[in-house]
Amino acid sequence: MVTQSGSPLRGAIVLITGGSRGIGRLYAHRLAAEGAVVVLVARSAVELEDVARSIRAEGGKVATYVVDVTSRAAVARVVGRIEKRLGPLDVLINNAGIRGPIGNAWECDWDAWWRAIEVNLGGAVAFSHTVIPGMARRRKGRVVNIVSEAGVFRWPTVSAYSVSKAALIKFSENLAAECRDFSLTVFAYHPGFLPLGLASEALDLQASTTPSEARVAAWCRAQLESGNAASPTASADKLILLLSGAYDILSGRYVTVHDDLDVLAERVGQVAASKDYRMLRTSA
Amino acid sequence: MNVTKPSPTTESSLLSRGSIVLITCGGRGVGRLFARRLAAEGATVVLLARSSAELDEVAGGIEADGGRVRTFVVDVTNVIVVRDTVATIERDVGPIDALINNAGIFGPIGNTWECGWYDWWKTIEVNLGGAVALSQAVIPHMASRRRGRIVNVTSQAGAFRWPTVSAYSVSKAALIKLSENLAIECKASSVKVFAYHPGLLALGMTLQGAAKAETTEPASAKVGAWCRTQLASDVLASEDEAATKLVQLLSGSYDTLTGRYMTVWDDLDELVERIHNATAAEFNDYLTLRPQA
Repeated sequence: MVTQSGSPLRGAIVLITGGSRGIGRLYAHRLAAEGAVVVLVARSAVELEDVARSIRAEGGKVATYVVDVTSRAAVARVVGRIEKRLGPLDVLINNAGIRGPIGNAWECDWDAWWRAIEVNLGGAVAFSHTVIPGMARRRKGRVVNIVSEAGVFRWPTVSAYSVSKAALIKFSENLAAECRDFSLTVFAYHPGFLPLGLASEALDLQASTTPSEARVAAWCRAQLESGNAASPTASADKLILLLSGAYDILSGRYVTVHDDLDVLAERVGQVAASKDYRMLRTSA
Repeated sequence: MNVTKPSPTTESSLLSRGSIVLITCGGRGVGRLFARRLAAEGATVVLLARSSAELDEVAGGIEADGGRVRTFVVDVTNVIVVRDTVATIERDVGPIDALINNAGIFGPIGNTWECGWYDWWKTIEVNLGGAVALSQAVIPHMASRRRGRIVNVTSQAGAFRWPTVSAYSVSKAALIKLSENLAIECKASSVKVFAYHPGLLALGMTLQGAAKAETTEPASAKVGAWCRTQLASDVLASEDEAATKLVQLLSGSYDTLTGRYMTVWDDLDELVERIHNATAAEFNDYLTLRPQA
């Protein structure tokens, strides 16, 4: 992988939560290749070391920290350590996420259901809450919240995940509006259905004797084998575009790997006047 | 404050006499409004709230008007207590026909990163968590009877956005999405789930918000001023309209709308009509600040 010497991300300090595997790991490699200093946080020191080793082998710069994103205090501590040692964060990628339980919501264990909200929404808000004050003071920074079309549509029997992603999308909309006066941008990015991370983990459920689990696994498999699947390279390419600064007009928006960002940017002006939000609302 | 006895709908009794309706945060504001109206419709209302004083006051008023009411002091964020209370209600009061997830707090005002973390997250725990806890406790009972309706009281803040009131907006958006998912999961059990925005009413949260107009803190003052403007405008919904729409949703006549987000301003018959006429593509159309749809 060749370092892009002209890349606007060269030397940028980028924090990725859930950076030790799946999509986080994919983006870590790509951002390191762009010349960014990649800071990865996750729960497993072993997995983090493994990613770090492979990034360094490619000539990339990376630092790793172990943290549980659901502990607000731990998040504050780790961000403090990172900025003290490496410098102010330029980019925050809230990627840490879990699938949550599968099954009818009332048949799921409460703790398992709520944990998905705590990790997927809480973790992202905790990091934003910690990182943005500094970015606001410097009037410089970007936040990308990794979401899912599960938050735009709905995924019955995977409700904790769907609800957490819908919440993260709405959080991105609100945060972006609040951040405008500070020249910070916030995106809600759906990386596409990729053959790694949560989607590939779901395939393990194919042999499950629980009908809803087997159904979800079969659906994931169908997505991956269909035209809906995205390529990891395309997914990372789009992230790089979002971070380039060329599409800051899309701040606050839900963007997917399949979107043509130039077309979206053009439509922003048109849609801004529209109050039409149809989330199963036929009244708009 | 509404001191007159609410009059039941003039149409045929929309709630069969003796329906048991559980309302969270039934001691004040919108919950209290709904409690009094549903009791006037003949339902036995079971009110959950944290304040026994408020519950006693509402219950006293309902009983004085000849209505049936039971109260339980409950913090909806305590999952164990919620579960036990629902079991007690099913055992001692009767089968729950409807659940109104109304408990909610406004949350902190200000840029997200300037709000107290605990206050911000607490809003999610109460507004979303409380509704999930109640739903988890109640649905198994409803499902076993293949009968029941859930109304999640949301807000247009969850459909649009409310910068500087982000915890509230996010929690309500989550509640809308929860309603969508639950409705589909509940289909097999014939349980219906609605997300309902009762409009801006001159009580409860909107009044609290308006009171902030005098504060010196800029973000709060701005929210307060906005609330005041709403209260003085045409947008203000009437309590009667807000309650009537709820009664309509619980009547069974609009079960086609399960999983949908509705507001006090919607003509429910028109919505049903649109659904029947919608093509498959339109049915799945979601514009959530997505210019590409």
